[in-house]
Amino acid sequence: MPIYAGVGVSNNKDYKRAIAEAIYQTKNSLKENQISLAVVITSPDFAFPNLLKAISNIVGLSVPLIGVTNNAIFTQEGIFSHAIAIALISAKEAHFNTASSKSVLKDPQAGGDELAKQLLFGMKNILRRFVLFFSDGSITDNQPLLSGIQQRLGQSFPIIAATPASNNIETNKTFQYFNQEVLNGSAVGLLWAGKVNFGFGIKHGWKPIGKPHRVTSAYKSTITQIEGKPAAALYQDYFAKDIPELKKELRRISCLYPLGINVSGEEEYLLRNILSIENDGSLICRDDVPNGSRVRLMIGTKESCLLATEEAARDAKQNLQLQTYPKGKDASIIFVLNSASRLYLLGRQITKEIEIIKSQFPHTPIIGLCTYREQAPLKTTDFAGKTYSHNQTIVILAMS
Amino acid sequence: MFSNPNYIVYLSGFVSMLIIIILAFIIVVKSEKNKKLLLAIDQIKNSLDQMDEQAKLIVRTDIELNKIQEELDKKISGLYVLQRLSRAFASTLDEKEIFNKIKSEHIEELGMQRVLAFIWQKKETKFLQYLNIGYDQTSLENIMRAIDNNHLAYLKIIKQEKTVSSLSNDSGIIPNQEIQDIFKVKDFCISPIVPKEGNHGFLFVGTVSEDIPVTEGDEELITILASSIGQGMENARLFEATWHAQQELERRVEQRTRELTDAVTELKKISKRKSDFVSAVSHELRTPLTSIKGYASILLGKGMGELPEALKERLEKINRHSDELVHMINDLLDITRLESGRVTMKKGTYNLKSLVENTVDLLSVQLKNKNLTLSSNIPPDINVVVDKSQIERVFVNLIGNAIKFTAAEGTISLTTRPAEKFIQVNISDSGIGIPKEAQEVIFEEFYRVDNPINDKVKGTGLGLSLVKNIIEAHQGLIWVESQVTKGSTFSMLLPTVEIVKK
Repeated sequence: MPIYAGVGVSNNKDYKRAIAEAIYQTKNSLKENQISLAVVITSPDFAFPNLLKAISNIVGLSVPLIGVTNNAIFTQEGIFSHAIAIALISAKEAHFNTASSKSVLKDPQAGGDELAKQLLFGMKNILRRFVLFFSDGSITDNQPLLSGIQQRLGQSFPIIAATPASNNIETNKTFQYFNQEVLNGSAVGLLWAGKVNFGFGIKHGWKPIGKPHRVTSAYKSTITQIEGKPAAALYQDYFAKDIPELKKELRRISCLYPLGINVSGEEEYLLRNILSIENDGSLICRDDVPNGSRVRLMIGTKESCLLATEEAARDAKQNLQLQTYPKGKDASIIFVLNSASRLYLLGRQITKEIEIIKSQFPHTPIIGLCTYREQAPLKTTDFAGKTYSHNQTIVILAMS
Repeated sequence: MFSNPNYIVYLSGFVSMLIIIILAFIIVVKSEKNKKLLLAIDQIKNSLDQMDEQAKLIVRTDIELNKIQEELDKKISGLYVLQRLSRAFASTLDEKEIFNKIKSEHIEELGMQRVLAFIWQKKETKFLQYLNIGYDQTSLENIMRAIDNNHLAYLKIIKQEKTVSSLSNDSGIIPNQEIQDIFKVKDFCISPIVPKEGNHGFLFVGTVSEDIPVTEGDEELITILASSIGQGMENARLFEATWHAQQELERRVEQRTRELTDAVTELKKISKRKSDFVSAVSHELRTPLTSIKGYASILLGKGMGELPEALKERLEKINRHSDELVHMINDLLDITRLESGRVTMKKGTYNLKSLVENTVDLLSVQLKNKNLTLSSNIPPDINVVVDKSQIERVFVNLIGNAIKFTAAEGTISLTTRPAEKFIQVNISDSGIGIPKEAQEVIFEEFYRVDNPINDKVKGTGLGLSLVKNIIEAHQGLIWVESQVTKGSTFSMLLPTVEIVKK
């Protein structure tokens, strides 16, 4: 197994104790192997440089560290809103590069390019496998960042990424960790290469309802018109509510009834959350909606949502096994990128998702976070496809 | 035939006609098909529209169901939070600590984003902030200034003892917009904190996002939370009051104990001085008394020749009184020794019945002289751990007293009763009895009951005091029950096993 990993979590208020407790829990899985990488996810109340210094002091000052803050940290032990989760990875035979880009807020495209450039450093003659990166929650338009990375890595290079959800409702600000630095307005990531196996699954579980509608006027993430009428008329018509009433229930409508973009040749719809409704009836979505695309109102239930989690976990397992020799070998670590909308829909049943993932990967450590947007190729079996920005999905990435 | 041009023309005309007829037929058929197709498309469109209408109904119903589910989930989570907080409140009895138990995660779980708590300070006539979640220092200062400026309105809300929210601000004491502007929230709840006694206050919770409205369910939960805080404060106040009362009580008990200890020490000192004095005097008296008694004996003896009758009579009086005085001094010395603990009880195990019988034998003459009936039901198998000579003195004193104060033909009875490690021995008589007021002091030194018998018969008033001291030196107890003219019962507890003195 080229990769060994352990994940520990602690909600102790004393950060030093929390670190010690979390690292202690990684011991069983990590055994005596030398730590190559630390991935840290904490609640925002722990985002201070001393935390990272304390972690580095224990795991080794030369061990690269990346991470983010988040308000719903997923681990094999459950979901935590105030905690420190640490994944320690030993990857003797695999290669990886970590990188950060601090200019993604000012110029996302250039920021993405800079991130990719750093990630590619020293990887010229090694088979590059995939990129995993996290960006700041306050970045409203993530597409240029993704394009910047794709310019260097190639349009069909597998990129799995997330914009972490923030508990700061006004600014959506989150913090990023890179070695011993606490950043914001940045992106941090890692590129895996060489002997590393991975498989992922991505699903949402929402189903189309009602007639398909043609987007007749849209630019980037703003839909101005649908079938020649103000875009909000679609929601007004379906919910029998005027714009002020829709605005009042925006969070509920956005999470439970997103728009689904029909992608030709694909079964799955690409979902878009509605972030705001303008007075002229325009809809501002979380990500781009192409002009002329066919969209439908989507509806999800707790059951369909959990079923999607099961399918995503199964896909991740199957895809990992396709690469792994001998087949059937366990995953070493699971990364979960789970949409905040799913948490909203599932409510108190949210922990069931962890149970479902554990049923597919019974002894594998899990680390993950709650996201505003997830980025991954649409197809999971033929994963070397174009990476899209998704909303409402769960991405399960298994590595070994 | 084919060379005939007319024929060709006719044939061409016929074919053309046929083609026209066929085309016309095809057009008619196509047109029919198109009509059918358009009809079908219309039907599909209608079905799609119908389905779309149904979809609208579904999503409208679904959103309502989701709202209910959400509210239900929120209430369940809220109740869990309240349960956890109630437990936390119960674990502290410090008023400020109650507010420290409320953490941001609790508030998040309640679906709220801002929380403040203010308690009215009667003495300072101002609100003090006890809790802040979600506000920075500057915002908090602005809020406190606004509350201070309009404190009467907030006191009025508290007085109403009813939660006010952006959903149901019926009273209009402070308009919604004003509260929203001061606290910088979209929705809010203000719930009075009203402990039974002590300072009252209010709990403010709010949301800043337009899409997180405060619901009726939230109002109920916040009301319960404020009420729990009030209850916690009440408990803290009661605890503090009880604690202070207990502290005061403990202080007083300690003071009284100290005073009592001082008094006892002083008493012991006095008692010791008295014992020392009595002991010294008794010793000093005994030497000259021995000489007096010696000389009186010599004079009464034949060595000095026959004495005149009057002189002899007086010498005999000197001799008898000297004996009484010696007896009294010996008793006094014994009492002082016992009181000071200088006498060691030479304890052994003795049969109680034998001990009593020995004493009765000694007093048989007196019993016979007064023709008294003495009955005893002391079981033969009871052993007592006592100093034999001392306990015999006790029985001699008590049975002697019974004989002394019982009229002729009377009765004396000796009975026993087991009492754990002791045996209770009762000496009852049918004598003259002891008045109530005398029963309390009868065991004091030199006390003699005022009665006709004591007037006639001389006594030192030391006997019962000596008896009490001897019994107490055995870790026993002695008491008397008596009715005048009906008789007395002296009861004592004697150890049946070795008693280790603590």
